[in-house]
Amino acid sequence: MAFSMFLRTSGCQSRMFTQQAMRLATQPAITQRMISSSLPVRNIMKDTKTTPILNAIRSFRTSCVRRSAEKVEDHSRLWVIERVVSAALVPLIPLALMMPNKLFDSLLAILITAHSFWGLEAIAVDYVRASIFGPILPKIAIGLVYLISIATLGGLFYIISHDVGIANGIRQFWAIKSDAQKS
Amino acid sequence: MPKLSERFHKIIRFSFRNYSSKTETKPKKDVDPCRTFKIYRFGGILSKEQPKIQSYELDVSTCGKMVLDALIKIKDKDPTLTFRRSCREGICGSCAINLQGMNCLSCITEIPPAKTITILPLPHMYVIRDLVVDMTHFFNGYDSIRPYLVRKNDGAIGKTQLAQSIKDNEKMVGLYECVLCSCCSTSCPSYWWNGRRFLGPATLLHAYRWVIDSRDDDTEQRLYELRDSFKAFKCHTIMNCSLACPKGLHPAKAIMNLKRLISGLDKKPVPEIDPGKFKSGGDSGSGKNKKCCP
Repeated sequence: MAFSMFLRTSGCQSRMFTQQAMRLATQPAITQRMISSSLPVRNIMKDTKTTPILNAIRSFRTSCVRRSAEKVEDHSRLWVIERVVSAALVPLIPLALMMPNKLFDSLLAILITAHSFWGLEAIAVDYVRASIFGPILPKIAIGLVYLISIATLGGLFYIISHDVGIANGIRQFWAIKSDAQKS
Repeated sequence: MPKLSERFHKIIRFSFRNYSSKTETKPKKDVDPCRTFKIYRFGGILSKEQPKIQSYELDVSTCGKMVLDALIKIKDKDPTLTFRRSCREGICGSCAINLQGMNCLSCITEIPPAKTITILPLPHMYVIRDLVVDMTHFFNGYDSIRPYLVRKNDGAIGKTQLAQSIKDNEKMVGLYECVLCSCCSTSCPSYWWNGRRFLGPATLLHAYRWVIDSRDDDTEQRLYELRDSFKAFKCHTIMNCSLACPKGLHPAKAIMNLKRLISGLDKKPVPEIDPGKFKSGGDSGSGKNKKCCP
């Protein structure tokens, strides 16, 4: 309370005072204790790595160097595609099952393989970690995921081209009759 | 592991919290005030002993009704029990613990009506001693998203107020209240397995808070820094975070919005009021500064 009343006095309200206070607050923090405080701080501070004390707000730094420094892939596009595939599967599966034809079957094969590949890849990356399994096993796990996905795609296309097709194949489950039903 | 019925009840309570105003009445059965507190004890990595669960008998009618009160009462009897606490009102985020299998702040969580109360440290964190865990990695992740306002070449920083409309300010409600207790991040299985590179719900909530702040100018760079497959996109919408948040915040929703911004499906809206509106031209124009009291 007393301090806030002090701050309201004319001395503290003056522009000079606020300017000095802001200058002190935004000075870089002195990391090495070299010189007494009587010398102006600006002369010592050539080191640009120190951060201002008042670092709640910082001015924009041109960070072009930072952008190209790390080779990081943009995963956001793949993320969108994963969601689109998931969304597309929702109407496609009932539609393809209702109307069996080669086009829907092929589309189904591709989307299902892609969807399960991304799902299995996420499982392998999340759980088969190098910190537990060592350097080799995670790579084997990812390799297995690729293998399974390629095999799945190949198998599904075999069913489409050399067999009844995916939709008809699933429908055949309902054609199975028990011995009692086979009259 | 808490009972399935308790977890289900908490999920229902969570969804009701936002949508219904009436308080639900659950049948109250009186539990004997003499409770058993099973508390995780560990001497620290230098102590060479194995961690163990120690049981304490406490009459909860002799202490306040929050778990922190019980812990303090137990510490009166056993001074070696170590735990963090500071504000006792749920604003500092120090006292995060795992109570009956769920993360919470001990100072604002009532002692549950159960005969045995299990208190463990936050899951999947290195334990320094008893209930105190090492938060270094958590805070490093938070610092990495640059949790401060960045303006493009404002020149004299802090000279004038930055303008913000009320609607733009309301966008940050539910985001600024986060106290960094890490209850959400330490309840996220993705953060358990990949905490090294995945930032976790708390940090991502703050990343979103700085992205949608209408006064911030560095949105493009902020979102650019989150584009890799681990920092934000290792969130698999498990939703444990929103369930665990002791402040009632919704990190999962913030992460959803953040992912939409990173991928470009959404764009950050233009601020309703130009934040530099109150900037007077010139360094120290005479007579332009308004004073409250002459």
